[in-house]
Amino acid sequence: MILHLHRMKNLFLSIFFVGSFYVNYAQLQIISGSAVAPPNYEWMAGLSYSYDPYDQFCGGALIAPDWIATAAHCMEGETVSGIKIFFNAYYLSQPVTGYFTADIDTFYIHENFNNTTYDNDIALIHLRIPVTAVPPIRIARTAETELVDSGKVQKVIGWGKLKKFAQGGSDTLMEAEVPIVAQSICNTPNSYDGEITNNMLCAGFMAGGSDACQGDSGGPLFSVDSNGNEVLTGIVSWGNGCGDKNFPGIYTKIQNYLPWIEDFTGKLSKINSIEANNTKVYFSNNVLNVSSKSLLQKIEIADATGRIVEQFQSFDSNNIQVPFHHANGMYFAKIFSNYLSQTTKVFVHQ
Amino acid sequence: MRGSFLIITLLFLSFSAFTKPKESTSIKEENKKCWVEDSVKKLRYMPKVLLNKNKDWKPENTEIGFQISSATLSGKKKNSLETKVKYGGGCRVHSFQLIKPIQASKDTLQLYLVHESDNDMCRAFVMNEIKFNVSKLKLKKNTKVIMLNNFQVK
Repeated sequence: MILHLHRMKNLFLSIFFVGSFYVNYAQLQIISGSAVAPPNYEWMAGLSYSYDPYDQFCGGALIAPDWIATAAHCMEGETVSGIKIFFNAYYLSQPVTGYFTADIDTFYIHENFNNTTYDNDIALIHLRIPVTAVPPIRIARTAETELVDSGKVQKVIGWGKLKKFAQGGSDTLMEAEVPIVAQSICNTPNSYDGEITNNMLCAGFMAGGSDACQGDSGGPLFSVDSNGNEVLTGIVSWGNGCGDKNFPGIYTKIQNYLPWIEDFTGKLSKINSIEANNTKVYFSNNVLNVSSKSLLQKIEIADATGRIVEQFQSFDSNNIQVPFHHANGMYFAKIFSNYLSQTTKVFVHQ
Repeated sequence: MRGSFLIITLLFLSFSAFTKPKESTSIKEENKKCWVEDSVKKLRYMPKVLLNKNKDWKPENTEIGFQISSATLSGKKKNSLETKVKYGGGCRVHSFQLIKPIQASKDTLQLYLVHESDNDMCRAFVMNEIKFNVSKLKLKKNTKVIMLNNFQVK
């Protein structure tokens, strides 16, 4: 009986102490950044258990009109019909104009994801209908090592917890700046003690401070390239606590997975013809064909990383055929016409 | 005479100090009363919640880092407590246990839901519906309010 009371006393003491910490941490916002103002980061996707954004459980990044990159642990055990994707929901309780949802066609979890070591925490979601309303974010190329150099400031966004001991997530999409911390520092015994693999990025503050938290998983860590464009460098994965001293956030280093991503998206995208917004794009015999009800003015062709490989302009025609001699793979066509300011199409050159 | 009384008293106190308390049987009895066996129902997610049926199980890290979004008593005899919970993680198996402490109030029954995350450091939200068989609680007729942590059971 005494031991039982002792157990109960421990329980109450635990609750008391946790409560005390809660009061202390209430002063400290883990994502100590600011609310994201629409229409920034339109490529930010929310993963929800239903059409209700309040059922949001993870984030993701639109990396191609029909592909979303997220964390493997967000998708493990899930079903295609069990998840809805949403865009432009800056405030979950009051999504802004332009909010829309998308259905999943299929998804792929990295075959070497390890939920004990958290290594290879990446998954790809293929959307049933490509998203043309918002542009995707490009993934950092393997050669762009400067984007993830130690000290390079990144941004992380999500609807996760604002405080370590908060019970739920944020209603507002939040952003915070987190610098890259060298792997050697994060792997010291007083930090993650060797747990950080070469497939992970460590970002945040050794002294504690801004960080991602529960609910942010799968969301983007991104930087800005020399042209001022956002570039995806990581995926929110895990961390000891949130914003704790000696424990910055840990992200999947997406640069390491470019071949895996391109392999998947290249093989599985069956789209070599797409028709939307009165514009049809298709590829045949090394010729790109575009037909539209409006006058075409300019076409930009970008590869899977977002790099523009071809540019054609001044057609003033409804139908055009342009030669295309590039390596097989997935490309995006940005189409400018007198009717539509910009439309993104995807096709596969096979 | 006084000396022998003092010696006897000291011997008695020493014996008491080194004798193990007799709580072991009481603990088992109380555990039978307080730890409730339960079951899990899948809620749009793989059953990552394993409910511990070990009556002596004690969470190492008692956490309150989870949210109860609903808690209802269902069934003809109101023997099933169904609760929807949301918590952070996504990589490890989490455990939930229902605890009924000694009832203090006559008309209010306070229950505790204890969460153990197995040191899950992943940063997703996980939602699960957990179903507890509360028939062993033998709810009293004069109980007007049932509280699950700070959430009122409906």
